[in-house]
Amino acid sequence: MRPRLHVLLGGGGVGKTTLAASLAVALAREGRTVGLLGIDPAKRLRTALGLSDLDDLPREVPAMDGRLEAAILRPEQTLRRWAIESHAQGGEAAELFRNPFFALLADGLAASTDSIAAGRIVEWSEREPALDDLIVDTAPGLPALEFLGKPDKILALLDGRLFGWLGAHGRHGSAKAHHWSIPRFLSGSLVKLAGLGAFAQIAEMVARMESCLATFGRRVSLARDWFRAETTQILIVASAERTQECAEMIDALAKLHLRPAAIVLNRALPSALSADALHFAPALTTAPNVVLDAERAFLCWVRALAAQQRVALDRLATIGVPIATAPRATLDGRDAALAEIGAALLAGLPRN
Amino acid sequence: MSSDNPPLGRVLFVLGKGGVGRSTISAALGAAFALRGERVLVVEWTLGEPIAPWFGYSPAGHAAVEIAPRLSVMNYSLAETMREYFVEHLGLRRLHERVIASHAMQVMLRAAPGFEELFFLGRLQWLATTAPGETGVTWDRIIVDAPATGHAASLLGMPAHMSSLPAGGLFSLELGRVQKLLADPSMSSALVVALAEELACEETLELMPQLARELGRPPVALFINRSVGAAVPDAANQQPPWLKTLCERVPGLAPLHQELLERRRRETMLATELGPRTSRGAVALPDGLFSEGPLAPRDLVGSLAAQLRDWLAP
Repeated sequence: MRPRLHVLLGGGGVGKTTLAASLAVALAREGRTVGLLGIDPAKRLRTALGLSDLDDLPREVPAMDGRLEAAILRPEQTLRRWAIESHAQGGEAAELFRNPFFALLADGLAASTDSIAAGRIVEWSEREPALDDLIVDTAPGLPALEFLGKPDKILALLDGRLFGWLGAHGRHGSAKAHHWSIPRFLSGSLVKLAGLGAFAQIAEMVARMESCLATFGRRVSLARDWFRAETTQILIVASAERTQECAEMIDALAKLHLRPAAIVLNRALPSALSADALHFAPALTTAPNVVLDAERAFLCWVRALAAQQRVALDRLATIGVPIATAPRATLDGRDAALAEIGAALLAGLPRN
Repeated sequence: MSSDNPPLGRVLFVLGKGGVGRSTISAALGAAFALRGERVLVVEWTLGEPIAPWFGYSPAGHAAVEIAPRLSVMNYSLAETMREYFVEHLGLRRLHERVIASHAMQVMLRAAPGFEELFFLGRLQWLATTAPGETGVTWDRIIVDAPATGHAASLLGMPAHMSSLPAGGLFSLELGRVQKLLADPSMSSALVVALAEELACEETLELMPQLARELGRPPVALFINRSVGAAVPDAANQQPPWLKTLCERVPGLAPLHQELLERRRRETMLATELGPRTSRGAVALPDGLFSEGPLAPRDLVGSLAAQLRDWLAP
């Protein structure tokens, strides 16, 4: 049985990370075994959970009744672990790590986690068969969809002629690989663009990574199916000041044949305020001299917040995806606050 | 400009966590320079909300669109830039059509780490130095609405990482040009945008030293966006007398007031801790929600631009 996958998407600053942590804590408190993976290169999950440290390998987070393990994706570490795992018998991994293009690949990946993330979630479920839920906190905005769309691109790249040809180059040198005419033209161009030394080393790196790439390809293809499983829940997080991207993200998801379970309006005002927030506002305009400046500014702000929320909810309602809310809360007493936010969110979400 | 003020580079990178308002600030800063008579180009390289529609135009493509007097916007496209570089700049149409634009090569180039960043920086370098000669268009100022922090730090650090590669050819040539652009304080500067919110604060605290290391000099300024500023005049007064009366009338207000105090506290922290670590200090930009009516993005950009114009020329 695959664990249930929950993927949180949304624009920057809407509160995805805090919400992912809340959902994880709330599910763990229900007695489930929960994994929480942050794949945002900005790595803010540690603070959201109130932990002193968080790493590429899962670590246990104290949570009542149940188990919660959290990790943040460090692609360079994941990549090294996979390389070692696939070169267990030979000493090839060390050679690979010395290749300057591998170092660049690892560095570059540190900022573009989505390439590795799809394989990483499958690795997690393989290592932790008892997992009930896996929650993924993604990078802000549309780039996060790369995580969901990447499997197809990666599989196309791995199956592609170019990669096979580069690998052959790395294994046998150029002589034997030269009977394909287009690649010969390509190799000439690559040398022109980046120099001969670079070309030889890229080819060598691809050859050395072949077994690692095969495992990666298998995992990525499993991830592709998992994203489309019925139990998988994709949540689009929005805040009242930031709703524009929701429709755009839903369109982009549809192109990947994916559909969100819900849009979550985060940091929603208490219903007492959102329902009839303006009833005290006339005091501002009819008798401005009675109120103090700080009070006036505070009321202006609350009124603007309520108005903004009303506009946001109206706009979201036109999209045609169920809407859930998560309450606005200060994070004093972090665990309890997270559990409360998470429980309130869960109550409004479809359960399967 | 007084001698105390270090130069603002011709290419200004606007950096910060997702959602802090980089696009708003980029547009406002661009508008501020334009108000001072400069010809300004804002380069978007984000998939967030495009700037041009705020001014009543369709979202900008790769070609620049003038959205206000002297203020233009473009949205960076890798494919278009590659075409311009190989076909127009180098005159290698055949190489571009048969190799670079081929599907296999495009798949590989997009997967190759650092390549896209190098091309982006190369494009900025070209816009700032060679383009006037080739196209007749001169930009006095180029504002870069950069990707969110995680990606941006690698953007500016990338040329240094790449220079250790055993590469030659055109690649080295371009890399050398980009490094020159980033190393020259009169040519490029970084500007950090922050919000007084827990995770955004933390990310800014991490970003500042990283940026200083990778650029070899501090960012020129820290912009604290959506500042509660004057609206919360006395951070020490936790329980103003009016709050109790208000809370009796409307339940649920107390936590919101608490939230404002918390924002005020974080703002002070950002300004005192990080302001001195920039060459021109911290600047608080007020939250549009403290105005009496809702502000349209264009009006918000306009009011911020007026403030920033004063900041540019005290």
